[in-house]
Amino acid sequence: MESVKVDLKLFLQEPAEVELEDFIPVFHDWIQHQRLDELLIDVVDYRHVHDGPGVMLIAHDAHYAMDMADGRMGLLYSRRRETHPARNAIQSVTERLRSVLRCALEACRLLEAEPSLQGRVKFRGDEVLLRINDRLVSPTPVAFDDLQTHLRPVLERLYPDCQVDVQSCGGSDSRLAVKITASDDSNVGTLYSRLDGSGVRTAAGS
Amino acid sequence: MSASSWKERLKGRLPAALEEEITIFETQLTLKRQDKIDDKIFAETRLRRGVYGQRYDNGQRHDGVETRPLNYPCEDLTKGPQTVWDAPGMQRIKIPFGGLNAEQMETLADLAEEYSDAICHVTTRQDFQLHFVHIDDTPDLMRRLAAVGITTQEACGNVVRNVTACPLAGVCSDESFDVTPYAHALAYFLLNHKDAQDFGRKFKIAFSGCTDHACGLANMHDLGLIAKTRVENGQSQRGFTFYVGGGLGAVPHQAQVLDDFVAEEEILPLAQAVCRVFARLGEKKNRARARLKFLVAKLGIEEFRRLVLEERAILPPDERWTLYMDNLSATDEAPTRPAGTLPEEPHPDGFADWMASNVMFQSQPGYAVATVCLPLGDLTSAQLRTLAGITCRYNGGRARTTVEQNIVLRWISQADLPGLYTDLAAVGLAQSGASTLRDITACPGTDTCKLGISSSRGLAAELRQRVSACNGQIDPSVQDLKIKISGCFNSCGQHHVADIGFYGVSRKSDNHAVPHFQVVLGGQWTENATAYGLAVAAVPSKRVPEAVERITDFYVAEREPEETFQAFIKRAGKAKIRTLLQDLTKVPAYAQDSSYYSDWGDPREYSLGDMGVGECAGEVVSLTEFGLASSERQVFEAQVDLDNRDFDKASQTAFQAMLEAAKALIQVYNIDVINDADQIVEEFRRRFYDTELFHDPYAGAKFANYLFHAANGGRTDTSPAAVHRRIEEAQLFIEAAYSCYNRLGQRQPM
Repeated sequence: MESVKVDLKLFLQEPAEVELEDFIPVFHDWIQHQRLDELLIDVVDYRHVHDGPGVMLIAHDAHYAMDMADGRMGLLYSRRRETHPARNAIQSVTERLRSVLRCALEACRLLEAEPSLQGRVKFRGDEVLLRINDRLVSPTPVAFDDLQTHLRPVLERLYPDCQVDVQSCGGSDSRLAVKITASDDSNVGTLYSRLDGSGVRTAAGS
Repeated sequence: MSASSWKERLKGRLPAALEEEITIFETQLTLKRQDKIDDKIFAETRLRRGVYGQRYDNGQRHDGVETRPLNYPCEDLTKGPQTVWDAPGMQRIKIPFGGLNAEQMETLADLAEEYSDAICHVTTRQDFQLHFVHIDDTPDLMRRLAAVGITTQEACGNVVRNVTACPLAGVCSDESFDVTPYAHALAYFLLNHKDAQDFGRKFKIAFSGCTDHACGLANMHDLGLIAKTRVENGQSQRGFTFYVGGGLGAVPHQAQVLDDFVAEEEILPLAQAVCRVFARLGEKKNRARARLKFLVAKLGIEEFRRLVLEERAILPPDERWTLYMDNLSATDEAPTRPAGTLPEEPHPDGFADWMASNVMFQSQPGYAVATVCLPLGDLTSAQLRTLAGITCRYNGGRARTTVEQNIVLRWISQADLPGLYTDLAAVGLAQSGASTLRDITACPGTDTCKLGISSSRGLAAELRQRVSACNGQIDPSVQDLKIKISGCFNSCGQHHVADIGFYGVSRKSDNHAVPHFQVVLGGQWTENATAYGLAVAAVPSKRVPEAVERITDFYVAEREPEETFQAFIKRAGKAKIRTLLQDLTKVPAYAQDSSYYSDWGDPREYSLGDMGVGECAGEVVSLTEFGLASSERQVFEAQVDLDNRDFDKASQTAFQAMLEAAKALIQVYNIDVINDADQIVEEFRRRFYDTELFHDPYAGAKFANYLFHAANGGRTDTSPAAVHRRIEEAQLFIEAAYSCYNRLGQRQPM
């Protein structure tokens, strides 16, 4: 799977607690204070669009959106390219998936800690949507198996000692996508720390 | 999960001409990365493929406190003057007459997801635009479009832009006849036409089926064609009233009638003649006065008409002028569902409102046109993909974009309207209020445009939300007023032809910049936009909603029975309106209320620091400069052929590169150059060799002789050494051509 175009979405626990509008000043602040280790460019307001990308933070290597697809608010990290020096070293699909997850979780952690949001933003740790945003990668059963193989070591770190389910959920728009659910609803901070932590344990299944 | 490339995946599925064109562009990208193409020429090259700049592409952005650099990884690499290579850009996609099929909609949706931000934006000229696109992705994007019959060629730049047409063409009861096949024919006739490549500015064309309605906006275009029939010798004859020299922009001009009736078989040659006159006499240096409207105004319509007819008389015949008329039904859309009548109630919730504002019965009994209202012209990839599916179910997979930034679905059986509404509502596409006060048009403004002064989209979203909140309580007399907003005076939001128009300006207050909008009143949308409004007062952005409320309340309270808004504004007088708005023009001190010092939807403190150099005007690049750049590309391709040990091809390509450079020089004289090698060589010999114009001050005729030698059979030696030498000679010949062109420029105005 050569494509660098990977989308990853984490969902809010209580989406009713927060308005999309609240994220506009937050993302502008992130640019102003360089809160993410990315070349951050601009903020785009798509609140007027039904179930759209909501409010987006445009970066050079990726887009971050408080996305409303399917009516579910969540943070969608959408990698476009890998020019950041830390990503030049990515050699494998598994490394890429880990890198994508790390970026998404980092943004979620920042949002949860954002003072202006007053603790109203909490992300679910037990559900992740992962998608290959590249139609050169067809959503075939073989591709799904391949993705699972690359994903397994990442999930083993992320969800040790718990039940993890990976279901194919793409196809209708010709993109390979999977829904990951876990019996462990740890917060994003814990998940983030597990990603780079040591002591890998075998997961019950994925 | 192996990924090939789109070039490989789509091999054999693209029309050969488009594949070649995209491959050429790809080579130009490679050459630019190697700094082998001048910035200005490359900028116009990409613009002519619809690859446009976007705000912050000069590598800096004001973050609300200060302007900071955006350190893109490409470092010094640029894609035009002051335009950073890595900076996100906009891809404009031409949709002639707004016509789309389901496969094209699905592809647009895919591309927006993979290369843009999953938003498909419909423009005020029936195009699609994708934002935040990286230039490296554009060749693949173009290939995928080409595979479904869409080209981005000439979507921007100083060329013929998208040919627009009334979206109701063929189904409207008011039209003289269906203008679709004519719009289609003219769009593809002028695409890449040699007589439409040397303009000083862009050239816009619109078709309308009738005089009364605005759908075609013929009067505000460089070339506007309104369908008309006349009876001659007892037979009805189709033709068009031909308007020229209309345009909005900072200085709007109403179009003038070139000919009251141009027979259908004459519209292509006459348009070609207009293009030739514009290319020959239009302003090239002062871009602010380079549109056709200025030439028509300068010459006067009588003289302009005389020149066009003179040009028409000497045009060499072209079979394409009338070939399309053998099959005018080629663009017809046939219904796929039987005609029907609207089912009895009960209907779904909201259906009655939607039906009242968004549905129009067609001239064909039993069928209707439904408007899909797009807020700010935007829809998501998921919505567009679903819409494609809906069209397949209801009308054979067809849709048309509109200049009001919506999409219409035609040939809907009236019996299917409740079902269609339910399907659209499921994806948020059944919003009522099409063409009403709520259906606000806005250009991209400060969101993405380098020229934007104020946030036109931010204001439009705010007004839209407020009007929607008054649902059902808006006085019927103002229900159908048009609000159109431009982020600057350039009028991409068409504010001049709105009932209430706005364009962005900036004012200083309390030592800070404050976003404002000029309120423009008196414009007329109907009758193909026959009257332009004038600015009455500049109001701070944050008080514009109050200004709208005050103007509409004033109209409701003071209007006479049946008095239109235009008539009312005329009677009331601009001075009175200005007085009405006077208190709203005041800006409180920064310490008192700082909210005035930022724009709608953007909490940063307002600044003009992000404005850049616009690309609407393109770069004025002569045909000779284009030709010389093209010859350089060809000599590069010859090198690639040589590396691949394809010696025959390398030799031929090197020769072609020299021919291209010679042809480019000949074009200095504004003469028609054909593509025959012998004739190019002969013309070059006569104009540049015999006159010694091409002679190098030191090397004399040496470089010209390279061309003659290759033309006289020298290129048949395809040994590796000979081909290598020929490529070197071609490179030197091109360098000499550049020198010659520069010398000519110093000797005489060209």
